[in-house]
Amino acid sequence: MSATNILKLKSSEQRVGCFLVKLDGRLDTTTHQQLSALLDVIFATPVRAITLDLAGLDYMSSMGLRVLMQMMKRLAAQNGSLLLSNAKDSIKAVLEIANVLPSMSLFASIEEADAYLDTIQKNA
Amino acid sequence: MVALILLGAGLVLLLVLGYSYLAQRERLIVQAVREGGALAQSVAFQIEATLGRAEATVRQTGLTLGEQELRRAGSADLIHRTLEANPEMFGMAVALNPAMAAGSDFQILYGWRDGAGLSVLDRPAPDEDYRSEWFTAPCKLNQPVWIEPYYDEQAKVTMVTYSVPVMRGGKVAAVVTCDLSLAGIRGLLASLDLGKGSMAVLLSTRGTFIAHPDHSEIEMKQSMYSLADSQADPEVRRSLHELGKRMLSGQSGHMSYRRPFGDTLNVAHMNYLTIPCTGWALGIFQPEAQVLAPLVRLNRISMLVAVGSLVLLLIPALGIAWSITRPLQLLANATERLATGDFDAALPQVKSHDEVAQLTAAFEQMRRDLRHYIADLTETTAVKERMAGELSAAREIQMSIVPKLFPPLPNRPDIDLHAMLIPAQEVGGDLYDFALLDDEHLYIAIGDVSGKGIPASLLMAVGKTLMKSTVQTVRTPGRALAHVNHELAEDNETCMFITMFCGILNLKTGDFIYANAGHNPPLLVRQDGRIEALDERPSPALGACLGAAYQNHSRRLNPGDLLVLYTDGVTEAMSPTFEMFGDDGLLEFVRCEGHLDAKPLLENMALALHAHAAGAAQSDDITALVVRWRATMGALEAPVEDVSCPPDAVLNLRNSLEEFPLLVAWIEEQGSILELPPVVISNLNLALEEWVVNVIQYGYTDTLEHRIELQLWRDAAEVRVVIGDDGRPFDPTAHAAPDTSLPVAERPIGGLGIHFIRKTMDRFTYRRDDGHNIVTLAKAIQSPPQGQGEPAPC
Repeated sequence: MSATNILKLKSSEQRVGCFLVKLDGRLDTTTHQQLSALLDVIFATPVRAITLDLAGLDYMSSMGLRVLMQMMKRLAAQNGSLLLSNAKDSIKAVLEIANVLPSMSLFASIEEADAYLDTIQKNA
Repeated sequence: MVALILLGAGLVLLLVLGYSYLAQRERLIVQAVREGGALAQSVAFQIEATLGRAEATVRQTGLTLGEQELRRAGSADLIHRTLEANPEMFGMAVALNPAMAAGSDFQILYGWRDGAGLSVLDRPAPDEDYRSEWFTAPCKLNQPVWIEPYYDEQAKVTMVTYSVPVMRGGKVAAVVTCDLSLAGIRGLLASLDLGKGSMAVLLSTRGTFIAHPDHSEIEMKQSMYSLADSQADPEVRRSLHELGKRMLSGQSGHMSYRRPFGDTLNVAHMNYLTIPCTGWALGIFQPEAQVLAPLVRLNRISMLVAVGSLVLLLIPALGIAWSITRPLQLLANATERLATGDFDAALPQVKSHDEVAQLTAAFEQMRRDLRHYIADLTETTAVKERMAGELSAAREIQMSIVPKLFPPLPNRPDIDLHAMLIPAQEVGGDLYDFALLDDEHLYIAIGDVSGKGIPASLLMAVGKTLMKSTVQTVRTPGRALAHVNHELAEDNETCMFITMFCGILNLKTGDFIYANAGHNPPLLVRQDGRIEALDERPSPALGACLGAAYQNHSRRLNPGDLLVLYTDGVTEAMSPTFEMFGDDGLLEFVRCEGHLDAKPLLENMALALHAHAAGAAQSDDITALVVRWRATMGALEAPVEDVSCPPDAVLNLRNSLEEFPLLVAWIEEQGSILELPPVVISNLNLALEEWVVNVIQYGYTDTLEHRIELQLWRDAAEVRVVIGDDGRPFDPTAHAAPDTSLPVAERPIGGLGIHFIRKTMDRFTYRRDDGHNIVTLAKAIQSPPQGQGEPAPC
């Protein structure tokens, strides 16, 4: 658990339209705007999928969840997908309370998520 | 005015005097000339007479000599006798013609007055005498001749000589003469009664002054011409030459000319005529100033008389002026006092019947009218004041009938109720009412009586009282209205009616049952901001329709929901441009301000209506009643947390998101100090963030700085945080849970925060205390009992 309320973001485009965003720290009232700003940059071009690596995310409040829900809405509009991987239990608990899990795919690892993406690509 | 009168009179007098002066002047000059001529004539006659006597005497003597022997003795005797007989004669001579004197015993004999006696002697130098004019002239002319006057040195007398030839045989045998002193003639002229400056002059045939008032300088020394030549002024010189010429022309007449008097030239008049025997010219000279002197004197007297008259005129003029202006002055004074409201000011007593008297009478009439008018006005005003007093009493009745005690229900924190009634200038008939029928039922009503004034306020009192007593027993609004309608409509001779909305709120369930008798539909403002008008079709107004039925309607209220009851005085409040506040204005107001507590809400509504009216007169009562059902009493009676022991930690935050990291750090720090399990810290973190951020973002309607206070207790069983804020009232525990069953794409973003608190905390309670929202969050530390994660039962 981080002693400071900092969010570190790392994003990379794995293949065309598919982004991997790594979150470290807290996604709360003060930090959620960083993710919003990053998403504005990503959504500047067509996006097919975003994978969030939550391995380093310690905490998420409803403010953070709002950003996730906005992201899902924007992706849904473009027929894209949001994939979550490596979520800690506390994060999973929040997602469960908000009942957003069925709408997004939760994977144990990045590899699983990649494999899922491949399947989608092939189907598409 | 007096000065004007005198000026006018003075001008008239001046004109009269001026005209009279000019006319008199002309007349006086003509008269003076005429008198001068007459005087000259008369003087000339006297001179002629004197000379004529001398002529006759000498001729007689000549004739006598011619008849006798020209002997010395006889001639001397004749001279002696003649002189004796004619005292006016100075001397007499008999001169023989030398050509005819052969053999005679004398040549020239001369007798004269020598002192008292007479002397007759031979002339000492007869040859000289024969060459003299007095001898040669009569010899040449063979007739008597007046010789030019001369001054005799011996006798020191001015004399004139008359020579008469003594004819014998057609030839001049001798010449006899007489010397006449001119003293007599001069005395005659000097004795004339002439005015000052006037004079009589006598000129010889040569122009020499024989007689002139200036004896020493002019008489026998100057002629008219030499006098003329001695004048410096050419005009005078010319005039005197002309005068001399005319006087010696042998005619009579008069001449006006200018001559010096002192330093100035003034006009003088000269009458002249010729004395026939000698050819001398007599002149009567009169300066015009002297001629006009009487006129000037007269004028001076006239002026004195005129000035005296004016002074005498001044006295009556002043008297008349005073008699006119005095009453006017008094009237002016009385007017000034009248203007200050003194109707007893004395008016001047005018006995005359002139315009001043008419004015005074009119003034008196005006004063009488004014006094009556003011008396009427005072009476009318008094009546109006009495009526105003009655109206104000009616207003007091109206205001005393509606409940005014606020907070109206002091021991009921579950109800936030407030009402206002702003009466219009004229008493209207608005009413509101509320009462707790029992612990669980709140009765509220609002109404508006048709018409205004005392009848309206009386009906309003009746309606309000009837309604309240009815609703105590008949607990259904529709039935209560029907009952009251029956009472009012049964003998409603005045055809007045009351519109009324009444309802009963169940404080346990939030069920609100109401019925509407023709009144404006109240607004229901939900906790989440939705606004609904309770506008089911209203039933007839009370008293209008005997036997009318009143339909009941109902709504379920959630805690925090607000009811806004109002009369048309609110929606029909007029701006100066006659725009109504309107239903939309009220909706907009409630949308903006609906979150406020009841009292500030109505205060702001009054301000908004005041701003809308912007000074326009209020035409109708403005009445509103608002009530918010805060929560069930059960929720409010939740056990107050034990705060007897001091908290383990305290944190004060400002209402700014910048303070948020402090909160996170505080939880981490206290979690570590108080040895809280990580999952508890995480949950506490989440719940506190959700609530505090919610307060910061939505709790305040102003931009001022507020304080949010957090107190933390930890005991063996649980950790408990009490958060207090002075934001707007908001009960999160009454907040409906979001519908999480919908797909994310179809859900509204947000609204999850309170849901998170409820799901992560073991206890989540709310109370409103002294203007503060007090929220308690508690989380069990030990292995949780059954039902973990569920909200504590309310």
